[in-house]
Amino acid sequence: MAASTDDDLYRQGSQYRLWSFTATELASIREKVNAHAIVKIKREHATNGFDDLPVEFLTAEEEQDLVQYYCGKMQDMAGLFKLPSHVKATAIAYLKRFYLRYSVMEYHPKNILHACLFLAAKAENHFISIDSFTQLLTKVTPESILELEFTVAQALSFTLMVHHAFNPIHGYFLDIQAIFPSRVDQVGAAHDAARRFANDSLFSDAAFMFTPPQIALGALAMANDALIKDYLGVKFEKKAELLEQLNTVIKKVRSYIDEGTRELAKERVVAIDKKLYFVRNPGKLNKRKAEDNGSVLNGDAKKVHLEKAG
Amino acid sequence: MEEKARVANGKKRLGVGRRDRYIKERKVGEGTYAVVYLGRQLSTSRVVAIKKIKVGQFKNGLDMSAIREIKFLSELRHENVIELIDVFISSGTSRSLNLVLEYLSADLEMIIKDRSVVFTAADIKSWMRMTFAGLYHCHRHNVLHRDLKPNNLLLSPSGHLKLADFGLARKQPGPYDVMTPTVVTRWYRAPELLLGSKIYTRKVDVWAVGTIFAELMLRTPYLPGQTDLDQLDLTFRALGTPTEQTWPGISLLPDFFYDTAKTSTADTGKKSGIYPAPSRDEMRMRFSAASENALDLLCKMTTLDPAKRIDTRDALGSEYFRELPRPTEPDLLPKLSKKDDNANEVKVGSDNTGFSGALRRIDKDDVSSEAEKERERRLAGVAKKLF
Repeated sequence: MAASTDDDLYRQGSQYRLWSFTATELASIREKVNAHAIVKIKREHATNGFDDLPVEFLTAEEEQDLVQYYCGKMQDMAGLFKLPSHVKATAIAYLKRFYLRYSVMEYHPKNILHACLFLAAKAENHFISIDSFTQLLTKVTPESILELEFTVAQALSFTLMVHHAFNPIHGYFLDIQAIFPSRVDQVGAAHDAARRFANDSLFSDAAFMFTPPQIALGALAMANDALIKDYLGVKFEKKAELLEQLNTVIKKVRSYIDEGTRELAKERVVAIDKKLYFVRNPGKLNKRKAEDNGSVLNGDAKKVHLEKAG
Repeated sequence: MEEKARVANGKKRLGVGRRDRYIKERKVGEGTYAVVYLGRQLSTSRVVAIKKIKVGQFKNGLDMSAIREIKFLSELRHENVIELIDVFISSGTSRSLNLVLEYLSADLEMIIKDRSVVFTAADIKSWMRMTFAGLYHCHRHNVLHRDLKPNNLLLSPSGHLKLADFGLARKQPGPYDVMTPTVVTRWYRAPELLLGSKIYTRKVDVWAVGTIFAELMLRTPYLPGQTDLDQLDLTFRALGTPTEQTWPGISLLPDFFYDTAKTSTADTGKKSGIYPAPSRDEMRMRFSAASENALDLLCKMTTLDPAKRIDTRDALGSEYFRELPRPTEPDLLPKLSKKDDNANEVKVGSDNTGFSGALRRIDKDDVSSEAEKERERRLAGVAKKLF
């Protein structure tokens, strides 16, 4: 038996092989997805005779903000179905991964959202039948979700396993408790708070850049910095250099988790979604041009609002 | 029907994109859940099995068993775990999911049943070692197989054994998550499952391998229960009825039914037997060919209390694997006899038997949690009636 470490096992897994990146790689993937979609949609617009319209395409940053907004929606939706944290976390991971393959201009996240949650529930053993799933949602048909489920599974290259920070947090919790038995209350509180920070991390790019145990340590450090300092001090007693490296990682993780808690201004999301509406319905721009000062604009604005709410 | 016709017409070229890298050559099995084709990877000419999941009946989208199989097999790459080569979606009137799997022509059940095949203690050790190596890998990934049995242990032409059929597999859940106890084919089902435990561990897989170990030595199923109740009775008769002393906490299990204070069958009536644990001599007589170390390992794997049952790591390190004879090299292991091989060739197309386990067991129910709950309810009802 080849002696392989847990790190080796992680590196053999799909989360590392297919879904781990540096910040630069991540940015470049998103730029490419964005540029590719613009070329494709421009071609479609041309075929439909809309090529002379002043369509404003989304930037990669705008796409990312919209995806982050829908990650928040996923949170609400998972709550609606009373799904546990790890199912929700997997669904969010699917959504974020999906948009490294496709642009929001190709597939609107409000639709992909449903397919991701439906698939994640199955992959995490919390099966919900398509009928009970659609019953709780408005304006969604079983067919539309099932159709997109294929698309999502394919976009994910059929890698359905996602590792989260929740399990490592529990592992650290047990280990810290064993090392500092007198600080039980503190450890318990840190565990609960760390789970909330791990949840915040889902909205950031942390999972693309760090391993689940790294995110877990970052979340624990945010929950109780002093406790984690003491804990790591014990664990790395004679390995100052390693500890320093680890602390650098923890610091980075913390900044990503902070990023995840960033509130998106409502106006910004509405503006992006409005732009997206015209990318997908360029014909409506025609009308707007024709009746520049008329009341149709209001009608369109209303539709934009509805699309977003759906 | 349409599919059949096209395949009958010869080598059917699959659609576009990723798919044109495979051709389906002939249908080798069909169940309610999937159709299995023998095929070829075009770029390498490698022979593969293509398991096409039917979507028609499954109105709930991608099938749960297929999702489990894909999810786990894409992570578990190991010499002793079947290789998932690719997954693709074929287009057509209804899109369907296709799993491209390593093609394996035989399984351990076929070897055990083939009376013309003779095997030695070294051969058994080799199969056991490969089974444990594959299972240890799964368990390190926190994956429970939950359906180990001889026909899910497939054999490659070079003699390598591979764990297959991950349609029931799942991750070891958190400490308070419940799971369904209605897993594992009856004869290989651990006592904690038979007693309705919803919180169990990877030790259920160790139990299954233990009963397979016994089956290899006996050349016949070790505990072939007719019903779930009979299975429990057979298990206790073979290994002794556990009590609070031998298995702390047993009386808290959902389907626990007898009074452990009573020590004889007469006390409980005929429905549930109270049996003494077998003596070492009785075990020696039952497994006359087994070495003392083999017997030790078997007893540790079939320890009733899962907390005391050995794990895969310790099993691999056990004296049994270190003592002589050394495990047979895979390519020197016994193969199915030529005659049977031919018979198998003929059978494959006609009645779907004689095909490798993972591919043959395609009639399995969709184990959605709703179905699981339903089955749990039914089982609970039955248990109440009978006890």
